[in-house]
Amino acid sequence: MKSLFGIPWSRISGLIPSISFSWPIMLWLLLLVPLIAAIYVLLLRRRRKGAFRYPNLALVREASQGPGWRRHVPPALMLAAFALLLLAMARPSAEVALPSRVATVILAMDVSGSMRATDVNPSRIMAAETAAKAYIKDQPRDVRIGIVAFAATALLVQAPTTDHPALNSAIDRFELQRGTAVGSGILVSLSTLFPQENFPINQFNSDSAGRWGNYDFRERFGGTALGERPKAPPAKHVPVEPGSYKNAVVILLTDGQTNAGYDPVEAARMASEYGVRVYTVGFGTAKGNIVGFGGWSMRAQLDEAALKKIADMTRAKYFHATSAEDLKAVYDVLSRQLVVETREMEITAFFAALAALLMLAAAGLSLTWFHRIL
Amino acid sequence: MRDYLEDREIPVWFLLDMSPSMLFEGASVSKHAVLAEFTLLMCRLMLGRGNRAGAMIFSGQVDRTIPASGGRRQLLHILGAVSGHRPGRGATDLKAVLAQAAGVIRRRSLVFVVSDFISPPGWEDKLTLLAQRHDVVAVRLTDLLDTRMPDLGFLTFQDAESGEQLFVDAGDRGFRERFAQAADAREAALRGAFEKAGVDVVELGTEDEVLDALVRFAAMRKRSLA
Repeated sequence: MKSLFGIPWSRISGLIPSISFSWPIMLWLLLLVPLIAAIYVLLLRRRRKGAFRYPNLALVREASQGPGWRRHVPPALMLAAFALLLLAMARPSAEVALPSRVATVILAMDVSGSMRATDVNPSRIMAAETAAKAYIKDQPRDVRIGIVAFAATALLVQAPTTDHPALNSAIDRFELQRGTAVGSGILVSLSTLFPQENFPINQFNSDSAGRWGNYDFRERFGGTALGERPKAPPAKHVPVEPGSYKNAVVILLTDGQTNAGYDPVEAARMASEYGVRVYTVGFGTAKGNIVGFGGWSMRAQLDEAALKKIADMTRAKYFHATSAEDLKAVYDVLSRQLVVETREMEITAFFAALAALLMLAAAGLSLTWFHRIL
Repeated sequence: MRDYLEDREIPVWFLLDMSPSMLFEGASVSKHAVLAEFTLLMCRLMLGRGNRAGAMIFSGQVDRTIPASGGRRQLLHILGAVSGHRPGRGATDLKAVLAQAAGVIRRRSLVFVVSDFISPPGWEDKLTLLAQRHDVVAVRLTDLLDTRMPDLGFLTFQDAESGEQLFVDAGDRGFRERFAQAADAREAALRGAFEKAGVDVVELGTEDEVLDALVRFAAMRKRSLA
């Protein structure tokens, strides 16, 4: 079958949830439905014993117009309810998409100098902090939240915790720095989630041991920093389905264009290989604007294309916020739908409830129309 | 020039409709009960004044004819026939009954046609013919349910005489309105037929007191005399 009423079949079949049955043998009971319908028709044809004997049927015939279709409505509803109950006996289950709670959320926040811009009231960084705090407040107590701040380098400022005051004070400690390294932000977030894995963070983080400027001694000569344990040779990570990691997500907020650190697209590829979703929030206007503060003046152009690409690669979503309210709304949406899980669920109760509703409707209609319950 | 029963001793005939449709117990008692009461009162009245009385009991057709006679025994005879009557089957054919009555009743008489007048059409002309020779009074038995249908919900109607069944949604307002219109039209047609035939009409409802109807009838007769 290619189409139904001009609608392509592929679209219709997408609408019908795939239903499977635990006791499919019970489906044979559905044969009772046509049987009952047949009995109903037979009963209709049979002469009624309790008929109302009326002297002048000609008058009644004159007044009645055609068959009263309404009388068949409640029985039809009852039959449908009966069929649903029979279906329920086969214990149907369906793949349903359910929002599932994430255990860990990493908030990766841009703390570059451009966040000082006051195009958002009172300033971008203040709005971002307020929104982040509100988001933290909205999270259930058992969700662990970690905070990664990134400018030219990225740093885990608060390891994942359920301690909300600690999170708030970590946000309060934000200090604006130069540069924007979205890729590093993602990598630090990933390494927070997967501490045992070896992400190439140190390569670009200038505060790491063994580096001087862009020159990495260890890369060249090997060796370990003081107090650093030799890491096991990186086991090749087997890529998983993008977006399949259910335990944690990364929410990355930035207002600018990457000008330092690890390649964001490469970082996104890694995130997708680990199945981690990276929700990206672009803050500020897409038009490049000059931000002046303290004698400095810089361009802060939002790189929407890159953010969208990151979100796409990791099966997440990109949001754009131009005001504090926007940002709040974005975080609201995020706190509701981070991870959607499809689960096989028995929907017998749903069938039974629907049947009950149909029966109630049948009885209600019958009462209002014919003053009797069926 | 008509003579009236009040002046002369003329025979009285009762054409009594005892068809199944009269057994219908609608708003109160059945029309059959009203018919019996009316017959009792009127028959006693007439026989008491020395008139002779006869009766024709019909349902589908004429079931029994009691020739006109006088005396107290005749009253018991007629009433016994009324109470012991078993209705036949089939639709009331008023046309045939009226035609037969015209043959049976020879002498000029006062004829009460006691019926609900639910019958296939065609009897109107026969009534006119009968009224030309006799003093005919149509005693029309009515019931509230004849003209107005209450909200009975969904219901199977069965014709009292033919047994035909019909499923009707009496809860439908439209149906009840159409029914009322059809009933009103029937009322108008009946009145027209009675008027055309030139017969007096006594409407006797099942909820009425039969005695009241008799008083009304007497008053009407007085007016037409004056």
